[in-house]
Amino acid sequence: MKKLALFIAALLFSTFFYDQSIGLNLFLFSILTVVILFINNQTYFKNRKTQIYSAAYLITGLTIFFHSSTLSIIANVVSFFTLIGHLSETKSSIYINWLNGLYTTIAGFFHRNFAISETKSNEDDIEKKEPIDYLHWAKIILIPAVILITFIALYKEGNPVFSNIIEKIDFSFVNIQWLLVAGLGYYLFNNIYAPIEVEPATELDLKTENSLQKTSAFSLPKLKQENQLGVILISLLNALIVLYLITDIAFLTSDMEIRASLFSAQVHSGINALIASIVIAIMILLYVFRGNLNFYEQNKTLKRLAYTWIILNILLVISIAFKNSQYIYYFGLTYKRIGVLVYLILATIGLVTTLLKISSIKNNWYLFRVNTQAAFIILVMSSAINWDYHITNYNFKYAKSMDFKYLLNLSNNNTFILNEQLNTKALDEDDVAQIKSKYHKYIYQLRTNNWQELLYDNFKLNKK
Amino acid sequence: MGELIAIAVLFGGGITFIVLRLSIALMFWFSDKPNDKKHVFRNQFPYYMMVLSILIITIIIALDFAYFAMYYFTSVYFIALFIWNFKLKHCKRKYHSVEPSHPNLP
Repeated sequence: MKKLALFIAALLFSTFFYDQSIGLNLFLFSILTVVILFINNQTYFKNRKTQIYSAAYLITGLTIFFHSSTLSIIANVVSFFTLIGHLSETKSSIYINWLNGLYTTIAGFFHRNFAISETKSNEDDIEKKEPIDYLHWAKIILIPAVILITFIALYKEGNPVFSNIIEKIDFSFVNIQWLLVAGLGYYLFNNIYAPIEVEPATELDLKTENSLQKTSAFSLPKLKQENQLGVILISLLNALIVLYLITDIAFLTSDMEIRASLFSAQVHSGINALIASIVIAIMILLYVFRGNLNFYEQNKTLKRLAYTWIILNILLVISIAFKNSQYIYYFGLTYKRIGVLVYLILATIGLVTTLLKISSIKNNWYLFRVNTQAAFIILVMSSAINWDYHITNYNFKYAKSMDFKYLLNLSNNNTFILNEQLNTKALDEDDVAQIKSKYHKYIYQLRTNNWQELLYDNFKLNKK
Repeated sequence: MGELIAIAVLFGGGITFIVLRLSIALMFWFSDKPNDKKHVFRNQFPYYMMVLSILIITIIIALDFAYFAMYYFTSVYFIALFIWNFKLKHCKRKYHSVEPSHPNLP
């Protein structure tokens, strides 16, 4: 049953992907993968987390059908590794899931094969299996084949009817590359059907708790000194950030025209520096609260100062988000500007989890675990959005100015909305020609798509 | 021309095999228990295969999924697996740890 399922999956794999571009096939592959994993790991699928990861994987597959973007493909691949890695060890952290998922995909079959042979050799050799005689098998296949071919050649010369029959046999329908892709599919499904783990990394992860423990190097005089240093450092940093925020508010509430002209330089040079400052802020807090200082009784002032600093950093994030949104309003939406917003969301999560780490005395692994999980959720969520469509829509409808060439160079996901602008906006002749060219090329591509390459746009086109 | 291609394939294949064989041997040489195959398999093999596969996939993508690159690097991947298989299951060779020439020196 299992081998038959893998064989059918391999044939489907080649049908989906051989000589095809990405479209409906990746979603169908996602469904096929979940089915194969379900057949072989049914008990794990009762677990809530497994169901969520499976749903995330299928959703990312579906987003590829709706808008085949690079981001949705990346999210689909990451979800694939997450699901497989999670099935190898349900209690491990998400980054270990990625590691296990990658390892299973690459060498699952080999790992199981070696592990089984190791176990067998350790079992006192109760029943030694006879080794496979490859030479004997080679003889059985090769010698009759060579003799058969020789005799066919001889008989062909002796009888014209037999010769005609032999010449009519046509193997041109056999596509070697299709078979090779099917073989690759069989190997892939054979690797993943029973997920395996990178043992040292998984064991270490399972052993590592989230809570911080008091170490034997607990020394009151040393901690007092550390506490003093921390209080002075974070107080000064608090004062500095307060001063910065006051000047920032003054700048933001200043005359509009000055702001608009300064935004370009401000955003480009300023945001990168502020982004770095938030990362450094988290690193300083992690260093200060790395060990026994968490258990020092007189650390309350230091903790309060740290909380204040985190909250002020969140205010800094809000200020950057405001500047970025103003910049987007004046100069239009682009991937880089969306990237800044995504970074700011991640930075806020980072700051909040740092606050939680300090308040509930957690270690750095906790921070890493929670933040990688958050990054994964944001990746899956952002992959569900058709960014090219929204960038184009926003820039035409709301932005004060925009770079038309930028919109034209985006993927085909904005082709229909660009084409709609021809009826509503007054555009240059050159721009109109470029939009029409992009539209016709895309329509041609959609019309020549095979069923494996189908996209949601194909159905939209059929409706028109 | 055909002979030249055959020589080039043999030469390229030979170089590839030597590089892979050497890189896998390095995994054993630098292991803290080079004669414990299970230990090397647990600690070195997964990371070796992951790094190799990521390199292969990166190069294939960089070369825009060219047929030559796909065939060549798929072969590299399987040859690496075969060499690991040989080293872990069939190879009887023992690695000797390097002893200091004058162990009693201060």
